[in-house]
Amino acid sequence: MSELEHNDMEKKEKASSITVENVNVRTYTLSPEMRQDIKESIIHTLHSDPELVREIFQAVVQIKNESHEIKQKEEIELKRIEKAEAKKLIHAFIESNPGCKTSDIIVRLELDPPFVMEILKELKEEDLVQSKNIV
Amino acid sequence: LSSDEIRFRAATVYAKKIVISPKLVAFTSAHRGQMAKLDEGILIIEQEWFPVKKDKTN
Repeated sequence: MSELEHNDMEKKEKASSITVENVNVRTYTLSPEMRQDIKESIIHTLHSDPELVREIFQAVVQIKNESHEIKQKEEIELKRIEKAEAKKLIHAFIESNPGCKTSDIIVRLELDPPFVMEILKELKEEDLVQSKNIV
Repeated sequence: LSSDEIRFRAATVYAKKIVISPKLVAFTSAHRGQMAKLDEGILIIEQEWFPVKKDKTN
């Protein structure tokens, strides 16, 4: 290591010790040699322990699958069903959840918004439900 | 489509793209809010829904 590089390293170490004092967080700056050592050590461990490699691989696959499942669950698929069936569902939902909002009906029943609006209008005209503006 | 403003107490938007501005918008000197730009969607003014109670005596 040249003198210039050594001075740079010293400066870096000083900077990181200031960071430690100021924000009370321990930070490590790895030298290229240390980095290489750790890398080789990890590779050696993985080579010498195929069981560990298998476990890590399985864990990665599991995490990937779980995150995919969560992503799928987070997506609301708005659908269109038979009008008569949707009418019954919406009426029943309002009866069991008086004071529910339009968006509650859409999201909980996972129905297409314009379709829900059309049915709510019909239910109102048939005097089966009534609406109130939010104040 | 009208370019008029629509005032609401509560509304829900279903849109293809919603971009919420991170900056606060000063509506009045005392009221702050946010701005969102929307592409291709529908805006539903929220209402509360109640069942109509039928009189069973008839």
